[in-house]
Amino acid sequence: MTTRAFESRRLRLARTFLGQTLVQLGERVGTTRQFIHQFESKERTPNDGMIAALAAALLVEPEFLLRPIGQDIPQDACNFRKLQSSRVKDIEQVIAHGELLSELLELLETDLEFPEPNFPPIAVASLDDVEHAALRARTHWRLTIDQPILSTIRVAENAGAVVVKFPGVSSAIDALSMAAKRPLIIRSSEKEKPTRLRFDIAHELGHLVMHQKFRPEHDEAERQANRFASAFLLPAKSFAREFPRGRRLDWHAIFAIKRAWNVSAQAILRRAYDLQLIDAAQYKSGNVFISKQGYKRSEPYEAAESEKPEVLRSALIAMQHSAGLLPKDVAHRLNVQPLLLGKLLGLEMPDISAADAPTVINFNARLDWSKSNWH
Amino acid sequence: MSKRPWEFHPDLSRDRLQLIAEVLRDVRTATIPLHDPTGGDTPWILGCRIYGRSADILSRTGPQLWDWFRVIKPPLEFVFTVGDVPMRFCRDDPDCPEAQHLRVTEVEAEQHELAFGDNSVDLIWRIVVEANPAGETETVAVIGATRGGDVKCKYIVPELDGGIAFINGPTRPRTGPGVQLPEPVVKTRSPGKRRDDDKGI
Repeated sequence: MTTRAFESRRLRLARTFLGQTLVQLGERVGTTRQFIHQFESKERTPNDGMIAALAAALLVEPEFLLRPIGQDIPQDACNFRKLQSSRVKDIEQVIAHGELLSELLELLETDLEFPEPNFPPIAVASLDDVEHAALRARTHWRLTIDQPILSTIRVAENAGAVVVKFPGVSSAIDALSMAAKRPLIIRSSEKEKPTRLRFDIAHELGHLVMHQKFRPEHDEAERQANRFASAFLLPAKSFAREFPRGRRLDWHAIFAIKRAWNVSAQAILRRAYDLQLIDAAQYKSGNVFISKQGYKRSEPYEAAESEKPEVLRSALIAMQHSAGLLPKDVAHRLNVQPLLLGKLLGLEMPDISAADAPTVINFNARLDWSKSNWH
Repeated sequence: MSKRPWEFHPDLSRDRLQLIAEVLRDVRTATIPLHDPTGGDTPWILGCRIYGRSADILSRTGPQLWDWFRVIKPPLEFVFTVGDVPMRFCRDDPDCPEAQHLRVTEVEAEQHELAFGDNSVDLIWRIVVEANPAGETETVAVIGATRGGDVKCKYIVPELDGGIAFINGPTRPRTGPGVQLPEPVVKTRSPGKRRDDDKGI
């Protein structure tokens, strides 16, 4: 007999994270949508057998559904890209991801020290302020103000954020940041162009710097974060010195800038327009050119590889080395199945149902990611 | 009105031809000021210079920028493909091209054979720059001619009014190598600093 109370919000959290509907979960545990809804809304409490079935269907241990849960993360504590075109279901899924990640981080931080959060709070009102905020942030993080940043993810993670790439996030949401005690940046890996990823990370850095205390309405906040990303990746003085002037757009030079600064030609064009290095007609014709060449889908001179998050990988390695805890042990501490931990970290996991399941996860050679470490 | 190139081959689209024509125009415009007759440069030298620079920039830039562009024979007998269609460029009169400019190179014949099966029926495609005596571009035309020199298709590529250029700026930005932060460090908590505030996990 279960002695601890069933925590209805945890049921919803796990279901939402996995992207399952009430109907789908009901089918998996042999009950109806209505029953699941009643469990989630506390109108009905599942018995031990049902809790076990629900846990199995949601890749968690029964204990997960009985453990107290903290406050929900309110939607307005999160910064989304593409919120307006996103479905409520997608937004809830990515917030659930953030909530579960926060729990994982709290667990890991019991044993480990992560980089201290270090996001200078800079209030902005105008786009000029945003330009200054981007330069101040570069200075604060000991980046030069006239050189390309080789890894934006390293900047974020050295500043104390945790970055996760997650294939499960709907492509309708590019990225999400949460200004929590340990800031999180969750990035969809659906749009994996390296320059796009860098811009998205810089955009989220902008939110974490400028919108800690006051966040304007969504569109304005997005405009500011876009401008921040632009100014952060392409500081005005250096960019103005390098951008070619002339009646016609010089694509050879634009792509040379792209190779040097690792910023897309589209973003370079926009930066040139924002800094009034080109006029509206040139900006328009440049965009027509980009569109006609198919560069919106695929631009030339993309880097061969995207930047990769490092902090969580290092944390799991440290847990193994210092506490002897394998990933499966970390999963158990979180009361989830290893498969769910893998989804949480954005890792490809071995398919436990397959007879010929891979025995090694190609994630980090220094850690033994063999199947036995997860199961 | 005669058929236009893309009506013979969809690969020869208006946009693609426009881009190649722009490069040829830009190279010519940028090269003419370098010409120094008083120092012994002859028109032949100017022509070689323009040809060489055009082939060079198309070789270096084209395949990077355009997935439909491929160089199949650099650089002296410069042959490239637009989609599957082999082409060359030259300075000539588009209405009455010289026989040497319509000579089909071996790789061009092979490409015709590969792309269209029967290379005897297809037209020979050339981008022809018509220039004035000073070497300045008058028109750029795409022509499709028979092996006997009969021009079956002629399309004058209009000059763009602003917008695109490939060669008139710096090609190497004056930027540093970039700044890289160290890998973020995750450390084990020392025993005294271990968090023991169990928050239910």
